[in-house]
Order: sequence, then C-alpha cells, then structure tokens
Amino acid sequence: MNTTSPNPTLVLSAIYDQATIRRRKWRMIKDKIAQHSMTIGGISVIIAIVLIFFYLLYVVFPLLLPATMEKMQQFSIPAPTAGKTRYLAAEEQNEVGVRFTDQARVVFFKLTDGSVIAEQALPLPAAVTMTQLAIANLSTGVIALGLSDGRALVIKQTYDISYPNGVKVITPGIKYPLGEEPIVVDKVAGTKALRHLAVQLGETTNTLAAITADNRLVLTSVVKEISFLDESVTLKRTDGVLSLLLPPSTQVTHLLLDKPQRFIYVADSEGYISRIDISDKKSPHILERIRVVKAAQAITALKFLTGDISLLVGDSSGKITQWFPARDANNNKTLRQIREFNHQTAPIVDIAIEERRKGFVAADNQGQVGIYHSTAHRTLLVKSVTSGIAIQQIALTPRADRLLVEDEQGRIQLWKIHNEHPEISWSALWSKVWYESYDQPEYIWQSSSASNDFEPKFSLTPLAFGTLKAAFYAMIIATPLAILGAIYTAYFMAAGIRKIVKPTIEIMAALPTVILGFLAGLWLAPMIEANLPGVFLLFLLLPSGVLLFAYGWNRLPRAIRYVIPDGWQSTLLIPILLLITWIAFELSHPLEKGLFNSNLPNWLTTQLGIAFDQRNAIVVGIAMGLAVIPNIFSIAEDAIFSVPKHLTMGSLALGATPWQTMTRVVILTASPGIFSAVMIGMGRAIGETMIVLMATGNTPIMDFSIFQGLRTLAANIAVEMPESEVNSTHYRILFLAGLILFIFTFFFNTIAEIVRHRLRRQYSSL
Amino acid sequence: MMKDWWKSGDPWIWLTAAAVSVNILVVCGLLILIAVRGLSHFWPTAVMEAVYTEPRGQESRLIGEIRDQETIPTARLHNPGYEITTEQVTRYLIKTGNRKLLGMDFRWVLEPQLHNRQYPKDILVIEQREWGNSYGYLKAVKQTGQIVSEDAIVAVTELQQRLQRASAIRDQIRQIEKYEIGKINYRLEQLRLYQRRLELNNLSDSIQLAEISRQKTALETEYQLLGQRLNHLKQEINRDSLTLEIMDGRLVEIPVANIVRFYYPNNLSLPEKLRFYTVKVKEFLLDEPREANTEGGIFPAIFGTIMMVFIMSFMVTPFGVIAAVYLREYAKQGWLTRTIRIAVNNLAGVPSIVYGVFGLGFFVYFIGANIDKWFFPKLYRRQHLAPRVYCGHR
Amino acid sequence: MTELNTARTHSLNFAALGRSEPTFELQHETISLEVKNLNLFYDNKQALHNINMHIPKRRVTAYIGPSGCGKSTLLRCFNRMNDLVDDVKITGEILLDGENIYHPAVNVADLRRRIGMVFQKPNPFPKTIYENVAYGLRLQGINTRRILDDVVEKSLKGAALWDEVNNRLHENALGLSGGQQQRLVIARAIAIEPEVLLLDEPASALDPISTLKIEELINELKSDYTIIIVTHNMQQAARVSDYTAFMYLGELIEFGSTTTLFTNPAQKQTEDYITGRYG
Repeated sequence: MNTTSPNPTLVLSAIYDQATIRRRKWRMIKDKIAQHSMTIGGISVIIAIVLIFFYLLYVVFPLLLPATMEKMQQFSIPAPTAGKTRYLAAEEQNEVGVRFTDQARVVFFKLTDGSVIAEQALPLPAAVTMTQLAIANLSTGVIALGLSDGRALVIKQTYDISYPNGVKVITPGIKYPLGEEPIVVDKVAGTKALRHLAVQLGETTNTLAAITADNRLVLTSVVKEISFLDESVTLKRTDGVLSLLLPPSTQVTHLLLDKPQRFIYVADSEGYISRIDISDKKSPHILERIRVVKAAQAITALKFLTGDISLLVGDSSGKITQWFPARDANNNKTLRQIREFNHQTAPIVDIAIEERRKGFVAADNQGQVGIYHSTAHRTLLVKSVTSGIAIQQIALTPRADRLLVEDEQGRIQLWKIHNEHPEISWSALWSKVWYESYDQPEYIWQSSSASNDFEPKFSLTPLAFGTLKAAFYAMIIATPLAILGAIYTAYFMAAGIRKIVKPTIEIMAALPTVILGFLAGLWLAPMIEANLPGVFLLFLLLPSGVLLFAYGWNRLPRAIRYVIPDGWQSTLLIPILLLITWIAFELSHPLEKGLFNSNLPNWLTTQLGIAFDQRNAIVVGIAMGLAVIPNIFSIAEDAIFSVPKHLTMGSLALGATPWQTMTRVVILTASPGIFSAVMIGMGRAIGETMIVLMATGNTPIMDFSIFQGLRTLAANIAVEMPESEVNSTHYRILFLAGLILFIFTFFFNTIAEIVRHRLRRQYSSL
Repeated sequence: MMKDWWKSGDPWIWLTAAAVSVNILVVCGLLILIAVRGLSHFWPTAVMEAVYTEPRGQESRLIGEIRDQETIPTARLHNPGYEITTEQVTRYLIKTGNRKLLGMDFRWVLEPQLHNRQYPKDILVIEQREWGNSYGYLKAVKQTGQIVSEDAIVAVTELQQRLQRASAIRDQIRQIEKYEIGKINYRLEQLRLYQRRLELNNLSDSIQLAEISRQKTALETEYQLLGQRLNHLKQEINRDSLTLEIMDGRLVEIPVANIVRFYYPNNLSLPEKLRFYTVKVKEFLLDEPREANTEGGIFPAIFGTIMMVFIMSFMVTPFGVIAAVYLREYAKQGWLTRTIRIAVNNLAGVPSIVYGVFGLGFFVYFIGANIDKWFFPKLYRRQHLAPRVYCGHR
Repeated sequence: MTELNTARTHSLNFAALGRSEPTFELQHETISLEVKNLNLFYDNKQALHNINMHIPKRRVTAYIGPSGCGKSTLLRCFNRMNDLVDDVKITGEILLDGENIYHPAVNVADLRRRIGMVFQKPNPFPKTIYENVAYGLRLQGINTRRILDDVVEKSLKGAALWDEVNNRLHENALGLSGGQQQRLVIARAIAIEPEVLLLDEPASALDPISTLKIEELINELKSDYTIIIVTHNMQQAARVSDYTAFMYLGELIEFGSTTTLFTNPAQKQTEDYITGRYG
C-alpha cells in the first residue's frame, strides 16, 4: 500500500524537526540569560555592599590627610624704595597684597606677580615719623600707626569689589575711621615716642593702648554714646595710666589688646607676661605676672589665637606654647599653659593666625615655616621655605589658603596651602581636650555656634558613651523580659495560647520606632516625672506581687487550681499585673507627699544632689527596650522551641522538675540561639535613632546617672547632618560617626557569629 | 512548705509567665493607647460655656472645649494667683480657639474657679482655613457688607448655602490655577527650552525666533485672560461673611471663604455625630495639610509612604532574590561566597541611619551634584573667565 | 544509698488484703509494681483496656506485641510520662509498693527518681560524659566531687562502658557511637539507683554488636533492678526476659514466664503472634 506510514527512523527524526530544534535553542538561550542575569544581580549586590563601606571611607579619608604647601610665586618686594615692611597682609580674594612700610607708606600689589597696583603715603603731620605699627583684630583690617610725637593714627584697609563689564575688579583703599588727625595717646608725657602700641575698634568702644619709654601703660578709650531721645552721638573719652612695675632694665617686648577690650597682655624681656584688667578704662590694674618661657629663653613672638582668648607664645628655642586664663586648684583664674608645639628648632620670628579657625602658622629665623592647629594639638607641616635665610614676616590670607613669606633678603614668596581639616586628630576625637575658657581638659561635643571665634569641640567620646549608655539601659529592661518571656512561651505555655501570644509580641517589631519615640517623649516622659515613686514601686511590686500571688495560688485547694489547665499561668496573671500596676500608681502620690515633699524629682536634686532631667535614661530604656524586645524574643523563642523534645523527656525521666530541665538542659542547648538573639538586640539598640532622638534630651554629656539624658552617635547624625556644610570637617566627622557605627555592627556581629558557632558545636545535639 | 515550693522551680515559672504577660500588656496597651488617643480626636466634643474667676477677682465668660484634665498636688503649681486650700487641685485644658484675637489657642483653668458650667445649644464652632477654630454665637450673615439675616434659624440656612457656593467657586479657582495656568506655564517652559536648544546648537535663525516669539505672545495673552477671570472669581468668593460674638463679647467678621465647616456641637444627634466623625476621618486621610501641618489631612504623607514602599519593594525584592539564587546556585562555593554571606547578614544589623547618611552623601551630593556634568559635558567645558584686577584706588 | 531502696515485700496472701491475685508463676516472687484496672484514653479514643498485672521485683519483664498494641503507652504509664502528652485520660491505679502513683498528692519528680527510663533513641545531653552521668545526682543537690566521682565510675562500670570511656570522661558525650551513647544513657539512669528501670526498645536503633552488649547488660542489671523492657523483637524477649506479657490492641492477652509463654502459650492469639502468623 502506498501509505505514508512513518519509517521508525523518521519517528526519531521528529525530535529533530524545526519546531523542536527552535524550542530547544530557545530554552538554551533562556537558561543562559538567566545565568547571566543571576550573575550580574549577584555581583551587583556585592558591589552595593562594598560600595557603602568604601563610600563612607572615601568621605572620611580626607580627615587624615596632612597639610600640603606648594610654592606659587616668588618676586622681589614691590616698591622697595617705600621702605622696610612693618606689616604684610592680603585680602580675601587672594588677589591683592599690601605692605605697610616704616616710612608710613602703603604699597598695594598684585599677589600673582608682585607688581604694584598703588602706592600711597599716609598723612602724617610735618616732621613726624612712624615709630610703631599695631594691628587690631584681623578681620577688621584696622591698623594704628604710632608716631614719633606720641600720637597715633588709626587707618583701615578697604577692598571694594566691582564688576564693570562682567569682570571682577578689586579696588584697594585706605579709610580713616577716627579721622585723619592723629590722636594723642599719652596725655601725661606728651610728645615722647611710644614704645609699643595696640588698638581695637569695637561697636561702641575704641581703645588705644601704648607702652611709654618709662614702662608705663597708657590707655585711651573713646566710647560712642547714642542718646535714646534724639539719636545724637557723643563721644566720651577716658584715659588711664598704669605703671608696670617691671624690674629695672627690663624692656617690654610685646603688647596685646583683646577684641572685647577687657585684657591687656604685656610681654617683657625677662620672659614674663603681665595680664592686666582694663574693664575699667580709668584704672587698669595688673592681675598677675608670670613666667612663660624657660629661664634661658626669650619671648620672640606673641599673638592672640582667633577669638582673642588664647595667647600663642613663640620663644627663642623654636617652641610655641598656648596659654589662656583658667581656674587653678585654688579656684583663682590664672594664666595656664595649655599645650606646646616643639617641632621647630630656631627662634620663632613671626606667627600668623588663621582668621576663621584655631590654627596658626609660625616662621623661624632659619627659614622654616610650620602649620599648626591648637585644639587638635596637631603639627600639620614643617617646611623649609627659604633654604636657611631668615624670615622677616609672614602673612596668611583670610581663607588661610595662601601664605606670604618675606625673607630678610627682600624677596616675597607666595605659597598655596591645602589644609582642609586640621581640627581633627586622634586626641581631638577621643581624649580629653582643654578647650578655651574651660578650667580643665574635658570630653565635649559641641560642633558649632554662632560666631567665627568659636572653638569647635569634636570629641566623639560623649557620643560613644551616650550610645553605650542608651544600649545598656535598653538591654537591662529588654533582655530579662524577652528571654524569660521566650522561655515561658516556648516551653511552658499551652500550645493554643502560644499561637496567639507569639505573633502578638512579634507584631511589635513592625511598629515604626518613630511612634515609640514620639510616645516616649510626649507621653511617657511627663508621666514618669509626675509619677516617679509609682514607677519605682512598680519595679519592686511587680516581681514580688507575682510571687506572692503564685504562692497563694499554690496553696489554694486543688479543686480550684485544676480549673485552670496547665500552661495558662500567663493569662491568669494579666488581671493580677493590671491590679499591681494600679496599686503602684495609686500609692505614688501619697508616698510622694509623705516622704518626698510632694516632688520626688526635686527632692532627688536638692537632697541627694542627683540632677533629674525629664527626658532621661529611664524613658529611653523603657522605650528602646520595648522596641528591642520583639527582636530578642522572636529568635530566643525559636531557639528554645527547637530544642528536641527527647532531651526534655530524658531529663524529666531522671526525676528533674520542668524548671530544672529548662535551666540545666534546654537553655544550654538553646544557648547559641539565645546568645544570637541578645547580640542582635544589642546591635539594634546601638543603632536606634528615632527613639533616642525624641525621648532623650540629646545632651552630649558623660553621666551614667539614670536620671540624666544622653546623645548617641546615631541621633547626633540625624540632628546635625541637615545643618552641616557639605565636605566641611563637621560633615566628614558625621560620616565618621556613621562609619564607626557600621564597623561596630560588623565587629559585633562577627564576634556573635563566632561565639554562636562555638556554642553550637558544643551544645547542639542536632 | 515554702521551701519545697521554691525548690520545685515553680516560682520561676510564674516569673517567666509574668514576663510574657508584661510583654502582652505592653503591646496591647500601646496599640490601645494610640487607637484611643488617635481615633477619639475626631469625635465632636461638646463646647462648654462657664464663668471663670480670674486671678484678680473679676469674672469672665469662658467658651471652649475641655481637652484635657489633670489632678495635681497644689504644691506643684507655681504662683497660681489664688488661695487654694485643698492639697490637690484639678485643672482643665480648655481650647478656647479664636487664636487670632485672643492670642492663644489653649488655656489651663483651675476647677475651683469655674462656675456655672453649661452647654448651650446655639454655640457655633467654625473651622477656618487659617487661624484655627472659632467658638461663639452667630449674630448675622452678611453679603457684600449688608446684613442678610440676623434670625437664628434663617441665618443658618443662609450660611449653609453660601458656604456651598464659596466651595464651588474655590474649586473653580483651583481648576484655573492648577490646570489651566499650569498648562500655559508648561508650554512657555517648553518654548524656552526649545529656544535654548537651538542656541546651544547654533541653529537659531530669525524665522524660528519669530515663530517662537509669536507663540509666546499668544500664550501670554491667554494668561492675561485667565488672570482676569481669576480676579473676578476671587472677588466673588469674598462676597459673604458672618458676624460671630466670641467669648469676651467682641464681634468678629469671618469671611465665608475662610470657612471649612461649621457646626453646633451641643446640638448634634448621635447619627449626626457619627456622620461628622466619618467626614473628619475622611478629611484626615484624603485632604492636604493646612496651617503648617496642624490641620487638614495627611494625604501627601500617606501617598509618599506608600510610594516609597512600592518603589523600594519593586527595586529591592527582585534584587535580593536574584542575589540569593546566585549565591546558592550559580556561584562557586568558597571563601568568597562565605564572606559575602556573612557580609549580607551583617548588613541587616547596620543602623538605618548609616544607610541614610550613605544615601545622602552618595546619591544626593555625589551623583546628584555631578550628574549634569556627566551628561552635558559641553556646557561645563567653557573656560572660567580670569578676573582682571585694575589699579583703582582712592 | 539505703534510702533509695524502700521496697516492702508483700505477703503472698493477697486475697486477705483484698488485692487482685497475681498469676500462679509469681507465687515465689515479690511484687514491685501492680497495675489495677488501668484504662487510658487518647483524646477519647481508648488505647489501654482494663489492664491488670503484677510486675515481679528484680526480674526482667518483657512486653511484646504488634505495633500499636499499646506496650510503649503502658510502659510510659509507670513513670507517668504520659502526663506530658496533651488530652490523655487515665483511670485505674498503678501501685508501687502498695501506693498508687496516680494519687494527686504524689510528687512526680520523686516518682521518676524511683522509676527510671531509657528511650528508644539514645538521648545523651549535650554535656560531657561525666556530667551526663552525674546529672541525676546534681538534680538532688549532690555536688561533692568525691561522691560524684564514685557514683560515675560505679554507674559506668555497671553499664559496661567504663573501660571504653574512663580516659575521656570530660569529652562531649555526643562524640560517642550509638551503642556507647545508649549505654551511657543506661549508666545515667542507674546512677540515681532507681528501683525500677523501664526500657523502651533500647536496642532497636543499634547495630547487632551493640545490641548484644545491651542484652548482656540487662542480664547483669537485673540482679539489682526491676526491669521492664518493651521490644518488638521476639527473639530478644525470649533471650533476655524472665516474664513476658503479650499485648494486642490495648489489651493484655497473656502474661507468664517466658519459657511457658514461648513454648506453651495459653491463648491462641499469643501462639499466632509467636509463630509469626501476624505481627
């Protein structure tokens, strides 16, 4: 028959027909695609994980970098015929430099190449020469010239910026804030030249101070008074004189007047500094005179650090020391040496201070320049800039990014400085630092304030302490509740109730912690403060009340007891606990009235000296403990529940009570899981942000008292990150705090994992 | 007997049971607390009128809702201004409203000084768009300044109608502002971008520019017309107002346009209260906030939360699953995969603020700040103009 | 030591005391345990029907029968391990030395010290060998090193394990082989010197060599302890026990001396089971 019955081989070849081949190919392609996308996906996760760590590191890393300097220009002194430089400076835009000469001339020059922009003679009276030059607070640009007839001329540098034709033009100039007529300073000795001069111009008060040839301090102060009634201006002038009482043949070497116009510091050739109180301009008086350098050394440079609180003393051995007034052991305020910098070896010729930070640059007469930061106690760079030639003057630009160095051979060099984050050193972050105006070194975190004169305090220790304190109190509350609860739920509880109880407690883990924090701060904290005795009573009464009830229950006749099946103790206790709570809070007010004068927090503060803050560690402990309980409970409960039943059977068969079985066998077997649970809870407590933010006072103090607040690393980041300037030191330190939290968690989890592994090997019978 | 009981371990079992009970009580208590405090917020509270003896002896009328009360030891009061003989004193927190006129919204008053408490049926509560609630007595309804009605019953009906009218006009204003003017702005922006693109590619010529400018003019004319219509509507909406006598006796004019709703709290029947409650809850969930998030609804926040959760889930879930599959099935098992597994496990414990900080720094400051530079390098390649310094001086 | 053994001998005149009469073969034995009208219900399903039997002192009694016949359940009644199972109802009495162990006033933990149990699957605790054996003593507050050392050595010797483990007493018990673990568990059980030892298929999870060792051990132990062993291995029952009870579907079908039961069973069901017609 002519049928098309398929040949056996043709049946097989059906497997190789087009459609099937296509399908198979497509299947292969799908498989390959899946494989590649899985690979890509997996690798991306790895990248993402690593990225976080490295990004944090990348942001933090610049904190560790040292300062660098590179030479930009060198040129000879502009307009050398104008005289020797008495003062060198540059303006904010790094374009115009100025030098004031000893012939009372002003030379403005371009920083880029030293070419003269303008030269000007200052209007001195006839036959009078300049003998002294004093600088007021750097940011004002005010300079006073001491004249040979004993008078002083006060001038101010100005730099006007304009944009004709879209091009920036800086026009330097000189103004005369107190008039072009020089001011008589020393009214007594009249026209004798002044030895030293100091000036400060303030909002309402201007003061000029000078040292005369016979070692007297003369003060002239002009106060501008604006009458309320007709807004007329009157100028009131006060003069004061003080004999310095220096030993014979001692010369005054430096004179400093601070910005608030309260103190004057006089350095003399014997190496002493006198501190003089001039708050009453009519009668200044000496507070103290102390030695600030070693006997063989002399004070070669004296400057205020920005803010005019600290003195920087450079001596002839190349050492620079920082001093400011602080209370000593007898509670007297005296000038104390705070820290010293020992990295230069030749006598310090000049110190230039940073206008906006607590840093400074020192130059010595061997041509070396050192960049330092006071608070961090850090020497950032010491560099030889003139290969041995002595330096005459240095000047730092307002942004501290350029340095002008004039050497004694008439050359000026312009250096570029990269010094982004000098405020950070290991000691600044982790040890006690002696901050300005404090009486002793302390751990303080205070990252910013309103003025530029502020000294940022970046100690992470209070924050780390706060983190640990919060975690500690939270764990103290959470661990017993969670683990004991887990023991009961997994082992003793009736199966029916367990099905309800376990999910209920685990639901708490889903609650956003913002809510807990909000409730803690706004509802719990005031309630605790108002009912403090009740809270303490509660902690006492709950365990004892439960035990009392349990004993009483045990003594009840069997008939009543058997009504409640085994494993229902927790349900039975609910009304009892509510009753105990009610009792505790009812007793709170009578107790408070009877024992504590109706106000326990107040009583604690006044009678026991324990300060009480409404937002304190109790609140945080309870709130954060609550947040952490479900985490610990869940894992511990699973661990205990999965202990094999045959171990329990074996123990009971040997005559152990259920509790003995639990403590001697079950807990040991479940110990890896329980340990893991506690570790995870701890990790969560360390990193919790929102609860701490809302429930504590966010005070960065190091006080372990349960009645005081705290600030944690995490909450600190949340509070300060929106306010910090991007890429500033503050910003990077916040990232550092994040990195510390990151590393800490890793470390913690790794240890936990290792211990858990070891415990599992030992105890698990699986 | 006691010793045997102690040894059997039974007391410990009870303590663990107590721990569970404490946990349960706390969980439930928390949820109940939030629910009660939160949900009861929308129920219409009765408004009380009373006579209050001020510290200096004079008596004033007090109208407001009792929001909170506490009983505290008298010793805790600082300078109450009265003689209080009892050891404990109760005080009430009264929401007197009328913030604009009285200066404050809430007031603590001492219970002994409160007399003659009543709940008059004709006290009116007005929820305003700004400045919170007003409590008082309705005196008159006005249209363009002329009194329409002073009668109690008629005034209410009039007010109702006018409120609906104002509502309708408000919708029209919103429609114009949001959609129609919005459309015009959008088209203007498109034109501006188009023009800029031509300039950047040096393709602009006079014909194109003329066309662009013609379209711009057309749009601007349309804008003018809409602006005029808006002004008219805004005039219309401010046509009506009412006069309210507040608790200190002053009469205050409230434009109907400012009113969200009004009701007589002491005169509501139970179904009416339920309806009120439902309306308020709906407003809370679906409306936008007013008065710096203290009134109105939280819809934007709900929307934001849900959107964030969705985006996160869509982006992260496949990622996580794929990574897990890869690690188990495809990657060669060795020290690398073990390290990765440990790393991922640890990541679960990292505080969320670290992720926040990373997100801020990396995505916002790094990628966000530089993304334009990466995609449009041409625009950033232009040389900075060197500032030139001239020798100018005084 | 003596306080652990407070058994009283019974007179043979049971009828005068109103007790149920033991079988003829037990005439010369003292009775350790007596089961009276025991019924057990698992969640309203009856598992044991009116069991009555006497367990002779210091003899090995074996329970045999097909799976599901209730022998393990009955065994667990002796040390009240069925209390740990939910929905179990028991009526009747079990008398240990004349006292009903199901009386409400009975301290279950004390009871289980007098009636020990070894389970089918070895269940040593995740502790050291030493601590496993000392566990029972520590439970009672005996912590003196010397006493514990003595008891541990004695028990391990009694369980024929001492020679194998005496040099590694402080190693983890989980490191032992299955047979060793089972012997350890037996050592643990006899360390507290119970009166009765209940063995629930002790060798069924073990290899033949270990099984042999266990059977030898049982032979030695019976001079000090009353042993009840549940086994589904008839040959083992024949080798090891003095008396055998055959159970079927929760009923005690026949009880008698092993030789009699295996060579000349009184009930036809017994004979059918023994000859392998079902099981």
